[in-house]
Formats: sequence, C-alpha cells, structure tokens
Amino acid sequence: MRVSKVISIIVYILIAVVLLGVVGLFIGYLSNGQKSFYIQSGSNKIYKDQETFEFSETEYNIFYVKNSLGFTDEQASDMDYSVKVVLCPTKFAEQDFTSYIVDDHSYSLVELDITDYFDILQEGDRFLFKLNSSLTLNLLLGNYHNVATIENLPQIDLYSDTYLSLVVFNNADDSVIKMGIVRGI
Amino acid sequence: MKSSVQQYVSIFLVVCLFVFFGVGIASDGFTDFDVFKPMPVATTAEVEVEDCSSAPTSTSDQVEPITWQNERVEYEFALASGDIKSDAGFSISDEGIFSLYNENYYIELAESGRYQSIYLRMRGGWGSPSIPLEEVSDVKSFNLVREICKRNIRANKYFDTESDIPTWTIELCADSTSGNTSRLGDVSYSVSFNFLDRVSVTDARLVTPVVEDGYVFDGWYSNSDFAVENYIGGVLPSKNSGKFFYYVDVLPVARIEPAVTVTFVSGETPRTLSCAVGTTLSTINSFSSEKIMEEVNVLPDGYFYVTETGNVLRKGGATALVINQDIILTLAVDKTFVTLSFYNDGDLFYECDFELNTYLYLETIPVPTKPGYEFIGWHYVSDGSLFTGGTLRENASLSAKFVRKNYTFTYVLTEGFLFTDGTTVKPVSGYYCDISAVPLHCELSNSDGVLYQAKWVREDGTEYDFSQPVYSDVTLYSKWVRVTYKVSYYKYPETSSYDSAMKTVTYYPGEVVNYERDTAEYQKPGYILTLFVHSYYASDEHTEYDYSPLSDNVYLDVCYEIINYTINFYRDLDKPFKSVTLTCEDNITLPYLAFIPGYDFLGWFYQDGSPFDENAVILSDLNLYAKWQIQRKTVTLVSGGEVQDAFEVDYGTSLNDVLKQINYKNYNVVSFSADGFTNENCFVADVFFEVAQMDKHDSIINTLKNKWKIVVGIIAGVLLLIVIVSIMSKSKKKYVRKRK
Repeated sequence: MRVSKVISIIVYILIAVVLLGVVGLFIGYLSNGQKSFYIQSGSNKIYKDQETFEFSETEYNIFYVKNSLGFTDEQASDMDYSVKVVLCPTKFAEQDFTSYIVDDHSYSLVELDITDYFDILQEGDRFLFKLNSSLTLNLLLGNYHNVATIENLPQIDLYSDTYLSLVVFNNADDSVIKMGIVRGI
Repeated sequence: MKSSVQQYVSIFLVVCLFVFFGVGIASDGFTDFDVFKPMPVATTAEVEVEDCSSAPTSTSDQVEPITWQNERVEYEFALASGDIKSDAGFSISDEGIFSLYNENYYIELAESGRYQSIYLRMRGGWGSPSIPLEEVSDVKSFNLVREICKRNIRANKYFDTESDIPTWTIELCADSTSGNTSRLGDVSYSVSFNFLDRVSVTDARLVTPVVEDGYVFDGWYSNSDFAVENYIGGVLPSKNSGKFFYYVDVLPVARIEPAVTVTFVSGETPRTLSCAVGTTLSTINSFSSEKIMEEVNVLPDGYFYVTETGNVLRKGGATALVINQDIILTLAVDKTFVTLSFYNDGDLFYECDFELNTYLYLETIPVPTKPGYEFIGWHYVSDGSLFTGGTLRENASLSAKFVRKNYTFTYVLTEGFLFTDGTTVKPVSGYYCDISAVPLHCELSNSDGVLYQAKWVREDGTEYDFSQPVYSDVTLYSKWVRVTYKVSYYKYPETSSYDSAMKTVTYYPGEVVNYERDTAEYQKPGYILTLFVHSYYASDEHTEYDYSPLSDNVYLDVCYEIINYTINFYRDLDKPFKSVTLTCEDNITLPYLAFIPGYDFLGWFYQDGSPFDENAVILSDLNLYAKWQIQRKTVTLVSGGEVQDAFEVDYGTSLNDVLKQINYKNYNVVSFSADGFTNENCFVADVFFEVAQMDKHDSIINTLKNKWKIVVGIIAGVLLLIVIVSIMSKSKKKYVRKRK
C-alpha cells in the first residue's frame, strides 16, 4: 500500500470523526434544552428557560429575541415570535391553593394568559416589558372574573416569587423560553 | 342833768349827721369812693395822715393787738400788683385778683385812678359782733395792710368857684406820726404856686429829705393824674365854672430796712447805691435814678458785670441777683477782639478781627466792586443803617450797598462805504435811517438798487454784541454790508424755539427761494414731506409758501405726514398669520404664540436671521418670523448605580434612535426609566438607561459593524499605499537598470 494512500485514508477517517463530533455536539446542544432562538437582556443571552428572572418594576425592561442560527444581524433578528405572561398554578400549589369560588362556581387555578394586564411593546426583534405595579392575586382574579373581590383568596404579592412567567414563543417551530417573573431592584 | 346831757348828745349827733351829709354832697364828684361811704378818708382841705403809729417795723412777729370796733372800718391803701409779698397771707395777681383765706373777713378790690384800693371788710357789716383782731388767723395780712396804710398821706382840695382857688400848696409830708420822723429828718416841705398861673415853682420832687443813716429815700409820688412835674413850666388846667376838685396825693415811700451798698465799677469813678437787705437789682431800678437795670440790659455782647464772688451778671439777667450784703459789681468783657464781617452780594467779602475799642477808619477797608454799579458804603445787616467806622465795641456784620450806573451809547454813522469798484459814497437825504431802533437800523442802496445796511462795530472794527451787559460808555460805528434775507426752515410741529431752525439759507433781496423738497436734510424718518408753509413764528397764517421774490426774511415750517407701515408676522414660512399697520410713533405689540411642547420660543426675527427689537422705531414694512428652538434632553447611561456615559438628544427622539446611539457606544440596554417615555415611543424628558458594557469580542464586532466604512477606508488606504510604494519601487529599479 502506498504511503500516500495510507495518509489519505487517515485523513478521511479524521474528517469522518470530526463530522461525527460536530453532529454529536449539535445533538447534545439541542438535547441540553437549547432552543432555536435566544433572548438577550443587556449582555445576558438567555438560551433556555429561566426559573427566576428579576424584572425592574418601575422601568421598561428591554429584550431582544434573536435567531440562534442566524449568521448576520438581519438573519438573527428575523424572528416570528410572540410574548405572553401566564399564571403558574404549580407555584400556588406549593401554598396549598389550587382553587377558588366566584358566584358559587368553583374555579381551579390554571395557567391563565394574563398578557393583557401588562404593558408589552413589541417591535421587530425587540420588546419592552413593564410590570404592573403592586399586582396581587385578588386584584388579578377579580379583574379576570370582573368582580370586586374574591373571598378566601390568600394575600399573595405576585412579584414576590415566580407566580408569573414571561413566555416567548418562536412561532416558526413552537419552541418556548420561559422566565419566572420576580421583582428586581 | 342827765336829760341835759342827753340833749347835748342829741345835738352833737345831729351836727354830726349834717356834717356827714355835707361831706357826701361835697364829695359828689369823687365817684370812685361813693360805693364805700362812709369812709375815713380825708374830707377836708387839710392834709390827713392816717394813724399808723402802732404799726410794727417788722411784719411777722411784733403784732400789736387792735380792738375791733363794732363799726364798719375800712382801710384804704394804694398798691400795685407785686407789691405784696406772697408770705403776707394774701396775694394779688397781675390781673388784680385778690385772695385772702379767712372766713370772717373778706377783702374787696377796687380801682381808683391809677391805684388799686383794697378794703378789708368784716362779714355781717353793721352790727356784727366785735372780734379782736388777733383772733383773725392770718394776722400778717392785717399787719401788712397797716404797714402800707401808714404811708398814705392825702392832700385834698375842694373849690366851689374859680374865685375860691387859692394858691396851691402842696405839702410834702413823710409819715410824721408814725414814729419814723427821726429817721426821715425834717419832713416839713411845701411848694406853692397859683392855680392859673404859669407854673414857676421848682420841682417839688427835687426836695429831698434828710434820711437817717441806714435808710433810703426813693422819691415823692403823686397819687393822682394831676402830677406836679407834668406842669412844671406849663399852664395848669383851668375851669371857669362849676366845682373844682383837685387833689394831690403825695406818697413818700420810706424804706426803713437796714441798707446795704451796691457798688458798680464800670468806669473811672465807681457808683455806689444803697438798698434794703434782700433787694433784687430790679427793685433797685424802681427807686433809683441810676437806672442800673437798664444799663445792664443794654450791655453789648461780651460785656458783663461780675461780683467779688465770681457771679456773672449778663445782659437781661439782673433780676435774679438778691442783695444781702455789700456787693461790688465790676464791668468785664469776655473778649479783647471784635470781628467785623463784610459781605458783598451775600458772600463774605472781607473779615477782620480788631482789638476792642479800636478806632476804625473806613478808608482801611477794601472797597468792593460790582460791574455796572457804584459802591455807596457798608451797612449793618441787622438794621440796614450806614456803618461809618469809629470805636469798635462789638462784632458786626456789614453788607455792601450799590446803586446802578448809567452809561451812554453813541452811534456814529460813517461817511460812506466802498463799492466793489472802490467808489466811496455818502449817505444822502432820503436813505432810510431809523434811529429809534436799538440797535440802530440803517439801510441805503446804491445806484443799482442794491441794498446795504449798517452793522455796528467798535472803533477797532469788531462787531458789537448787543446781548452783553454794558459796563461803560459805548461808541459804535456803522459798517456797511449788503442786505441779505434769511430763509429758515423749521420742522413742524415739534420745533419748540425760534432759534432751532434745522436749516437757514441766505438770499439777496428779490431772489426766489429754491424748491428744496427733495433735499435730504429735510427728510424725517417715518414721515413724508408734504408742504412748506409760513411759520407761526412770523405769521399768524399757516399758509403754503408761494415762492415769490424775497423782500424780507422768511420762516417756513416744513410739514410732514406720517407713514403707515405693514408688519407681517410669520409663524411658518408660507404665509403671515397676522399683519398690523403701524407708524414710527407707535409701539409695536408682538403677537402671542401658543406654546409648542418641546420647543422654546426665541422671539421674532428678521428674514436674515437677526433678532427684532420690540423697542425699535418702525421705519419700513417688516416681515418678522417666529423662531423656536427644540429642547434637548439628557440620556444618562447607568450601570450598577454608576453613571457610565451621557449624551443629549432632541426632544421627541425615538427609542430606536436612542438605542442606536447607545449601541454605538458599545453598551447593551437592560431597562430604562419610564418617565417621559410617550406612547409614540419617544422621549420628552431626561431618561436613565440601565446598561451593560459589551465584552471585548462583542465590542470589536460591534465597532466593526458600526464603523465598517472607516475600517474599510483605512484598509483600502493602506493597500493603496502599498501598491503605490511597490510601483514606485519597481519604477526606480527600472530606472537604475536603464542607467546601468
């Protein structure tokens, strides 16, 4: 066997190994919870769900939604996404609170979409999100059911723990990044 | 016997009654005392001296008891206010009000001639119980009354007809029954004269009694208007019918207190006077002919009397000095110099100090001058009297007085004047020469009809200024100059004086005034010239000037019409939103513009961009433009509470633009303050951004993205430079090869 042939075989093997490694890394990246997009807040890039994220209560929080696979800025910013704020029933379950009664009807606490209660300005790959000041569970559910008060509701400051989540949907592949909302400084 | 005794007593009472009524009738003219009848005053021609023998010499302790009779007793005495000492228990005021504080007695005051009479009366009148006088609590008062009473010496005369008039005998008596006779010496004096005759007696007042040592005599006094001294050397009044009643009261006042001496040393011979202990200098003046008080009261400034103990007695201050012992008053003076101040027209002209009693000759004083006036001497400022010099005793202020001088003006009409050809002519009959005018106005004309007039000059040829005051005789000579007329132009109506013509043009007689409407100096900003009219200064008619040939000076008002200007205000550049019409006399009111958010109004500007001054006078049509300036807002970049950077953006800058600028500075934005952020995603207030610094990698990439044109330019430049250098290098090598 000629030496050159041997060298070429070795080169092909090395190339195959490298390709397999790249594929393995990509599969591992995806299986590690990485999404097809990420959210940038300041210099902080968020690629996966965040259990808690501190939001400024008095200011507009700025977020950029970027395509992870985009090469140029235009490609990275070319995102079809939507933003929602939802209630997290599991967090209330930790407080032994899972249902409530309004007009003799019992309601179970579910993942309610309460986006309309917040000030969200979406423009291109950027959206602004501002917390509603002093939002309580009673106020939130009272507005939702259009009643003044709901009895036997615990007094819960919804920003004191991750009772709410900011959810960003990638409409192209239905991937989602959730961020548990907590009041920051 | 008893009945005969009663008869005698009855007869005696009847006689007394007749006597009583007779006295009442006889004293009919003596009305002053009628209301007090009966009264124990003198009722005969005899001199009656009231019994004051029991009066003590002192008024306080030695009171002699007197039994008060059950009858009305009246004591009369003469006194004037001030004669009664306050410690006498009663007093009399300057107004004649008498006061006595005793409930059983009262005192009445009446006036008789120049005397005031005081009557001490007991309450109850006739039939009142007898009260010993010592029971009257205020005994001093009675003592004083008696003391004064004892000095009354009355001499009364009654005349029924003129034939009854005897030779007057006035007896001058002095208290002969009072026990003081020995102190007064011989008191029997009398002076006689015929009532109707010319008085030729010696002055009774010159008869001076001998006074015992230690007492003083202060003269004789009359108690009526008929005073002897008034008729010495004159004719006594006469009356041919009816009753006559004249009386003379002579009141010798004897001072019986121990005397002290007052010596005045004011010259070479001292003067010594005697007076009672406790007397004041003013009292001395009342009984002494020396009139010391008057002398003291006219002491010149700086002079005074001084006592041995150093008490100073100045002008007008003598009354307070009480003489209790012998005293020597020496005339002294404060100063040894007197100052004379000479004033001219209110200003101090000359002032000098002289030694006291220097004799001043006026020739030594400088004489003031005043142009046009003649000095007529120095006069006292105080009373205007003439100051003639002499012995200087006190300071004086003197003022110069002048009278106006008169001068003569002489006008000399020269023989003729030179024409331009050198011919000399003389004024001849028929030429106008008005010598009544001052200054003299003369005109003449030559054969060509050219008018000349005289200018009045001095002998040296200089022109005389008639507006200057004259201080000497003046001789003026005529100087012949050609007559010209002035045309004076005044701005109407603001010209306020005859001399304030804005222009004067000279013409010869017969010339026509140029029409000078377009001349620049007549123009008035903001106005348009309309007419030349005869000025009110020279004519009552304000009529338009007709430009006829000149025969006199002409005064013209230049009339104007004010111009209206249009001011257009532009809020935007397309068309004016407001226009106003104004004149140069109007104040402009700039229009109000609504507030524009985010902009500051800078004012109104001309089209060339220069600002308009609202106080400027409007002299043309104007287009004014509103100018606004956008407000600038500050964007502050904060990280971890520390300011990283800051920059300014215009009011209303969009969020995108602001984020671009932040990105350009290599910062990533976390959040920003909501204040001043509008629904249009714009900023209208200062804003704080929470940012994070990009890491180095991102910063480089970001810089390249933001500044790629610069980077590409630099690289292209470097490559171009390399190419040029290489080309040049190759060219050089070729050149070297060729040379080789």
